[in-house]
Order: sequence, then structure tokens, then C-alpha cells
Amino acid sequence: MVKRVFGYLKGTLRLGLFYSRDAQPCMRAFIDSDWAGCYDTRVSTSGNFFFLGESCISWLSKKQPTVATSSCEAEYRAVFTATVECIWLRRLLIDLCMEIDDATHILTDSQSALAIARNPVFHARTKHIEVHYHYVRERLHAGDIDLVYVPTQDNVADIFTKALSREKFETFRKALGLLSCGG
Amino acid sequence: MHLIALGFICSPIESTLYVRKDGIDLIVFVLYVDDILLTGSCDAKVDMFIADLQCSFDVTHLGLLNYYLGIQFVSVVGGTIMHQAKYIEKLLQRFGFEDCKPISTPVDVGFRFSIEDANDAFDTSIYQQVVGCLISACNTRPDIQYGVSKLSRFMHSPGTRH
Repeated sequence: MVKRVFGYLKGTLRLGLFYSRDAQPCMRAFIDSDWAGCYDTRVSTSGNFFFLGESCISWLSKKQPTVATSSCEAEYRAVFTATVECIWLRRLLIDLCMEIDDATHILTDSQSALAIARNPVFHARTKHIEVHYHYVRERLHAGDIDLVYVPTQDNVADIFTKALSREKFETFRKALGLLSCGG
Repeated sequence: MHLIALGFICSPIESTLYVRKDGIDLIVFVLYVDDILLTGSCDAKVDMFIADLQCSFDVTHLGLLNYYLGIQFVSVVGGTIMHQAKYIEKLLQRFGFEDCKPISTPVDVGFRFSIEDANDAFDTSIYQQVVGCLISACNTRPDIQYGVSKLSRFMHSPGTRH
């Protein structure tokens, strides 16, 4: 596998992230998770990335700390990880004297994670989710974040949680703002 | 400390970042050990600040940003591209992958990563070095992040399949 990654890097040596000069200071995030993706421990993986304007400024692909008992729970944890990162990035932007009034849109392809975040009732299947994941709800009410649905086929964060076919991989790679700098 | 005396404020959430507001203009100062990255909304004020800094310290002005912490910066129409071609080239040489065949995606669809593939005879130290270097390469390459994060789960017990 290491060899494959190197093979890929060799073919795409001069790819880099593009940052536009006239970027709009508008932040958005895409998130995704797989469910029980690790064959040995059945732990899920979270993935997220943040756009500022059209440029990618932060991304992550990480094994979750505990086993999620449903895909909804795994997705909800991915929402949590993204919320924490989002709050940090918003503070960083404020330190750089940028004005951010609107809630940052977090785009997820999981309707069920959206439902849990919006509905403050403990459901039978979610009552075991640790309290700190309900941080998401608090931030949602405070107006720092807003969760928005995105269809799976348009969810670019897929690139951080699964192996993709060539066609899909290249489309998402372009969406991340990875361009070749020639030479 | 000198920066604070000059009216900069150190960001409470990112200790390498210092910002100064001059009316509507802004100077942003990033300090990593002895490497400085400087920018601002007004060129004249940035130049003035560099002159100030040169009075107090032995500072070399390297001009426009093109190389910082192993990352190369290229100006293109409408913006800048950040890449690590030099670094990746060095890695290919260092670990003997110069001649490997270029492939279109970094992770094989359906490849099953498992701890059961661990192999005692395999050199753990080399594997850790390789993956460590790949993690640095992720700085400008979100496209390999997923593959590298999967590989890094076997740092303690790699096998030939990894």
C-alpha cells in the first residue's frame, strides 16, 4: 500500500492547493464518516474539510475514539469533530480581523445526524451517545454553525473516508482546489 | 516581547500568530522558531515595519514568499499554489520508489487494511519513517490524507502488505 501511495505521488508530483487572491471570507465545511470501517476493531472514521471561499484550509481523516453502534452515531460524531474545528477556525478568523456574522454551514449527507442535532429529544437509539457530543446542539443554538444536507454523490468529504474510483476521486480532488502548477 | 511592545497582539488560540491593526490596515506576522512570514493589507506599512525590524535585529529579507517550512509557493493567475514537489521527489529517492509505476488513485478500492497482516520480520522502524514522511506530505495534499491515515494505524506492527 505504501508503494501505491508513492506511485500515486509520483504521477501527481506537482499538484498543489490553489488559493485565490479574491476569495470571499465565507467558510463552509463538508463532513462524512464511514461506519465500522476498521476490520480489526469496528471503529468508524470521520472525515471533514473546510473551505474559505473556494480554497481548502483545513482537513482531517481520523479514526473515531470509540465504536459507534449505528451509522447515524458515526455521522454524528463526525459532526462533532467538525464543530470543534469550526469553532477554532472562527476564532482564528476573528483574530485576523475578519468579520464572520453568519453561521458556518456544515454539509452532511446524513439525514439522521441532522435530525438528532436539531431535535433535542433523546431517542432510544441515541441515549448512550456521550454528553459532550451534544456540544453540537449548543453551538447550533448559539448560531455558530448550521447543518445542511448534501446528497452523497456531491459530498466531497467522501475522499477522506473511503477509497474511491478514479473518476470520482479526480472530480473530488479538483473540488478540493488541488491544481497542477505545471513544470 | 519586542512585537508586543510594537503593538502586536499574540493570538490566544495560535501562539505563532501576531496581528497589529493600524487604523483600517492590518499587519500579520507569523513566527516559527526563526522563520518569519509577514503580510499586510498595505505594502508601504509592511515595508516600514521590515525597516523597523532590521534596526533592532539581524534580519534577512528574502523577498516574496516562495519557500516556507518545506512548502513551495508559486504565483499563478488569480492567486497562489502551495505544493511540495521538491519534498516528495526527495522522499521517492530516499525510500527507493523513483522507478515505481505512476498510479491514478492512492488507495485501492476494496483493499482491506488489517492488523492480521502484521509480520514480525518486517522492519518497523523503516515503516515508521516512511509513514512519518508521508504525513508531512499531507500538508498540501488532502488527496492522500485518507490513505496515509489508514497506513498510520499500523505504525506499531506493519507487514509486507502494508
